[in-house]
Amino acid sequence: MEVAGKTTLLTGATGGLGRAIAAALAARGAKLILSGRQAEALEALAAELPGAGHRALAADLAEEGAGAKLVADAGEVDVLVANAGLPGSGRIDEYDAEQMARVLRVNLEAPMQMARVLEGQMAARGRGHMVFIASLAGKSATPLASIYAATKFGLRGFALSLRADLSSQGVGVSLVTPGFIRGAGLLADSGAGAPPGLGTASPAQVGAAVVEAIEKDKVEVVVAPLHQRALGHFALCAPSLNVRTASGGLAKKSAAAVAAGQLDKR
Amino acid sequence: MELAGKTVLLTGATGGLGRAIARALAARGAKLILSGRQAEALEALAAELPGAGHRALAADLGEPGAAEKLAAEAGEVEVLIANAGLPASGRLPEYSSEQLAKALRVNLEAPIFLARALEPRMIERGQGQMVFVASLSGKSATPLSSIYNATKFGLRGFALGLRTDLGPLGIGVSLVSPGTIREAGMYADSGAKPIPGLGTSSPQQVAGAVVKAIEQNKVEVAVAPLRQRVLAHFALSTPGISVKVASGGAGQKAAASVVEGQLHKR
Repeated sequence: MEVAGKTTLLTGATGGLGRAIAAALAARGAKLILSGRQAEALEALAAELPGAGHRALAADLAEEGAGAKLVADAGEVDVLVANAGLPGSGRIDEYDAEQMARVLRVNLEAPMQMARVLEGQMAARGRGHMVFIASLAGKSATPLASIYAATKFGLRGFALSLRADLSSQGVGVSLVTPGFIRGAGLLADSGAGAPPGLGTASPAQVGAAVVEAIEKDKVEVVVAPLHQRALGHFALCAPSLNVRTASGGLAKKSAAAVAAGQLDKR
Repeated sequence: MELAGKTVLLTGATGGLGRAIARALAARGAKLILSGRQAEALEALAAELPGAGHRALAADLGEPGAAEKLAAEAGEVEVLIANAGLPASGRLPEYSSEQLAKALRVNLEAPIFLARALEPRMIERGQGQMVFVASLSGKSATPLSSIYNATKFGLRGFALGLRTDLGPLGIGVSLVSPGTIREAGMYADSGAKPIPGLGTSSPQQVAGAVVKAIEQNKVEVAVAPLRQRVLAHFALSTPGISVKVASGGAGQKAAASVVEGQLHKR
């Protein structure tokens, strides 16, 4: 589907990756409905993007019912880019019930509730596209990330099956799956570096991947250097070996640094 | 971990697979805490199982907070078997917001909340085992199954991640992943015929897999004939091709007959 002229609902728009995705879509002529928690930051972003007709719609997707309400408020939407996500890092016993429920709601339930409402209107028009921003953590389980893995593995399973349901109705469903991203996003914000030797990708590459997913109706676009993609695939296909490697000291240490920098986002 | 004398909390105990799992564990000398929605059926099962000291604890894991409450009432638990699950089949817009939330709660959130509640005591004792009953649908996305796929992919990611955190602390975490099961369980209950040529497994084999997972601390035990396991692995490693195949007429038809028989379980 062409991005030009399409009304595109983007969640998590003021996060680092969200801004890069918004910039890429606006440059292609999309009309953006920008969503996130901070109304002022959204308004500012809407004003600074190239093109016209962008608007801001604040929502906290951690609140019950917020996903469905956001879609109802947005009105007619041609493209959904479900990008909002919480890091969900650390051991599960460090989370209270409410914090855990928030991660599950923002990362998994909200995208599903939005798709549930949007599917009907897109299928009726015989046109539409949904992009779910997953993660290589949706293929490869790592230490101190069990809640995040639950949501990102879950989002992959959801999107792949939804694609099977909607492909005959003219509605596309794609996954965009970032690895370690430098400069902005959950990992960069944590202040921890990416594990050495694995490389990183840029937020702009994530933005370009979203455009590619929509325009070429891709099943999944992975945004990571080849060795990360290879490791992610290895973890997916040989989880036992991977879990053993990931339980070792080096992986633990690097996971702990990330979790420590994400404490404020629970 | 040896099962004899261990206190085991089993959810979904009166379902077809639950009963088979309960029998196999009781035969090994486990003391069972049987959970499910139907108090009377649970009491009857507790009374008929071999061995002594079994008890029933009714809980509806579809209700918010039910998992934490169940864990608190169960008290000291050495082995968790998170087996309860809803089929959550059908197209997404057929679900109300609450039905969707309930499916996520039973299949994914409740196991995570149970693990979180039971983990601290297991860590203190330096011993314990958690078994999550997933599905080959946690590896392979199929039509009319987007919610179920989300929960079972998610459960796999959670368990694999959790294992990296808890393995070094002496606590085992395992997945048991059944394929198509005959005679009992949600597939058999739907009344749909198994897909020709793919074979089936028995509830007793699922129970055997749970025992094996606990006694040998396996990462994952798939319960399916070789052909199904190979297909699931193919779907996991090449989702693009798999989704295309699954979107075809035969895949849709087989999925539709299962959905029909599971309408009453939403």
